[in-house]
Amino acid sequence: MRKSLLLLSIGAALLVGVASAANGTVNIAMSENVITLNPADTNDNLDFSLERPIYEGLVGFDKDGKLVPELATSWTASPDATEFTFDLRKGVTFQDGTPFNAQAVKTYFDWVIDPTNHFKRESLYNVIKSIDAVSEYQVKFTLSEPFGAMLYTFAHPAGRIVSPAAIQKYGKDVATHPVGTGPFTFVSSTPGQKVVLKANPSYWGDAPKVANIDFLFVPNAATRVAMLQSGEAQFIQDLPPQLVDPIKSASNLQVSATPSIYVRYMAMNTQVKPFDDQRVRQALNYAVDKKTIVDVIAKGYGSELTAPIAEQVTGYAKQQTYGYDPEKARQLLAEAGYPNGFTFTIDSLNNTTYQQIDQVLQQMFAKVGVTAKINAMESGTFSSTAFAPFDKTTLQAVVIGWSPSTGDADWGLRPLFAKASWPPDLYNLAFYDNANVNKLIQDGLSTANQDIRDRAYAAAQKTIWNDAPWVFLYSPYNIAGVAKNVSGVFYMPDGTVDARAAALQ
Amino acid sequence: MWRYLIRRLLELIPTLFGVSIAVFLFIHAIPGDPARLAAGQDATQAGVEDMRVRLGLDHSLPVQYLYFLRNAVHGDFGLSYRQQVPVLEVVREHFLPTLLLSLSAIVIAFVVGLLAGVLAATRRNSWTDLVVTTLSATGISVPSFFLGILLIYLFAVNLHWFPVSGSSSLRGLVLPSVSLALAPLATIARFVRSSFLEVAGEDFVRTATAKGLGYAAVTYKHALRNALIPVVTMTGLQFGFLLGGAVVIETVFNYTGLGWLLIQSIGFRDYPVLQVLLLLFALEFMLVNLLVDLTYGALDPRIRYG
Repeated sequence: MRKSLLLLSIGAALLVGVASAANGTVNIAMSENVITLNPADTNDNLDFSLERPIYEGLVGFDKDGKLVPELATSWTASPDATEFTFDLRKGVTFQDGTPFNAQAVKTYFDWVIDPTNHFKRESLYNVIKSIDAVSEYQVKFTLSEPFGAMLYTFAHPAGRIVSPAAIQKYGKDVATHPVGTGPFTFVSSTPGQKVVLKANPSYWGDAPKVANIDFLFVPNAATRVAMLQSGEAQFIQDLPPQLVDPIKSASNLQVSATPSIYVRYMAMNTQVKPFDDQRVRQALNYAVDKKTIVDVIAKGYGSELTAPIAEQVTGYAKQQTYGYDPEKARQLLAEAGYPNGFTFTIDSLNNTTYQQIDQVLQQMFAKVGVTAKINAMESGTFSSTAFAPFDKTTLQAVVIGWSPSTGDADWGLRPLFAKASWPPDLYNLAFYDNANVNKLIQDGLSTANQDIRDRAYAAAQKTIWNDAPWVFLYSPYNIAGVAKNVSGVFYMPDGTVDARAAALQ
Repeated sequence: MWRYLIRRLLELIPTLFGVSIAVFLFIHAIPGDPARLAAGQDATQAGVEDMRVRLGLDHSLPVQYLYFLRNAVHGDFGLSYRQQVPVLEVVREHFLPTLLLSLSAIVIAFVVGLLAGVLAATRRNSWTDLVVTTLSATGISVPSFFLGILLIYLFAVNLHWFPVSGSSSLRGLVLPSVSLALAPLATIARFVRSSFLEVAGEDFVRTATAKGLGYAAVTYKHALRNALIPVVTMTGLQFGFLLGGAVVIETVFNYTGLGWLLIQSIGFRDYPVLQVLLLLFALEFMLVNLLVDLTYGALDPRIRYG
């Protein structure tokens, strides 16, 4: 009797143990190696994905790219967008036991914008003039000039806050000793192999549902697929559309495809012939069958662009698309003085996707009498070609993509269409220069009033769409392979992976 | 012998110095701006210039080389652009996996290749010979990445005998080593066969047989030993190549050795890592060649070092 009671209590204890503690490991295969785990020095989606379970920001994005509170509970902005005040969540501690408060926020952002640190994300925040800890749980940012996109800049993954004690102790080595307030704590990192995280038992929000998350680094896509099939990984990031079939046909696996904020396009150098003529640029837009591009290149996992920015970007305004109309294209070309077409060169990256887009475009342009030559380059060479200043540029047209990492129209338009963003400064590869658009982009920055910003960006998008400095192509979906016994791991529209709610069935 | 060894080792120094200049110029001649790549597509020009200073790329080429040389003499090869940790640490981390992989591949290739070659030679024009020569011709022709993918599909995805991705365990070493071993194995088998046949026709082998030695003694003690000298050179050469990291196989198996690191570093224009990797590959080749020269003496007592 006593023995059975003992067994019973052990059984009960085991049951309670199972019910309360998170267990199991979710293995997530990523396409690239870890570089850094310091948000202030991160500029790639892979590292942001790894940092996501460790750190939290003042504000962040939900699954659909909508701005939501994280460590701040509420906020206000001055109408001229120069002062931003946040009320902070109480009772939060960093994983090293340091309390989270206004001083911690100030320490982090002072560190980010300290020019002697040369952090990659300094430029994102150096519009901040001063940071004041107004009280224990209120912090005020004062900017040196109006910056309407600031709230979204705080929601950017680089705005996730590192423990002040860790900054003090490790300095730049936070890159390999990350400490934040998030649901998972850093355990170890083996560059080239994996980063291991474990559940943070004192997390302030919903308790983690698994004991460990292992991020594995597997650059080869076919290897990632094989790992998902063999059970070595439960979630594989960056699944090429060409490889979805074996996953779709497996009963224990599924394909997750969700809209992204990534846009693919062909930018035309609007300052040189023949692309200095709006009719030519519009003609090429009419010459391209975007539906075929989505079907052939993205195997249907994508959507035709309906604005210069993707639908999930804040400030998006839908435009009337250029239908597929080769007849109209030919007519516009004739009006512009090119009845027999012309020859030009498309510069692009030499990876499979871009080469395929190049070739499909080449065929479609040929149908309206335009001959495109393809110049595909390896990434380093391409980057030198793309960033050459105007007086040295060889660009006629370039097929490329962009993802506005703040999720806001400003970063989806300003780097690509403002005169001030001509290479080498930023990525206006069309060398587009429209006084009205330049002004509207500035208008959007000079206020924190979202209605006014939306109106300015809507007007800018309309003008850009009509001017057609790009052949507007498509927005590819983020595609992942997922084991059916895993939930809570998903792609964000910005292309990072959020694994905070990872759970095993 | 020792004097010879020391002289050979000292001779490496000027060679390495020359290689370091060639490698430095070569790396900097690749188009592409590491500062832009490190700063990212959406960095402003100011951000890129900031990165250039941080990476020390704001100096002229000769100055950069002298800095490199000065630090290298003190054992400091700088920080990886990509990972911001000392280059030697990065390279060391990826060296052991490649050493393991090349050793196991070359052992498989040498042992199996030798046996197959001798078997084919001693049973010349038999079915065995035909099978070995046909298989080795196939082995030389099949690209290793293709074999790798086939092996992954069969043994990892379908049978679950071995993991898909390499580096973490000894079991993970099997598929990449086999894929990597096939080409040198086939080459060695063919080499052994022809070299053995050549030696078998020589006078001393006939003498050995004539004086009444058994088949095994003639084959393995007299013929094979003499047939081995060109084979050792070949194996050494193959091993030198393998140590340079099996770029393709390491990528297919996600095996994080030096070849994998090389690809990553080229894509990112990680100059400090590339510099050290290429120097290391040159050094490995020189050392393997030295080792091959020393092996000759063991195989053929007539060879003396002075």
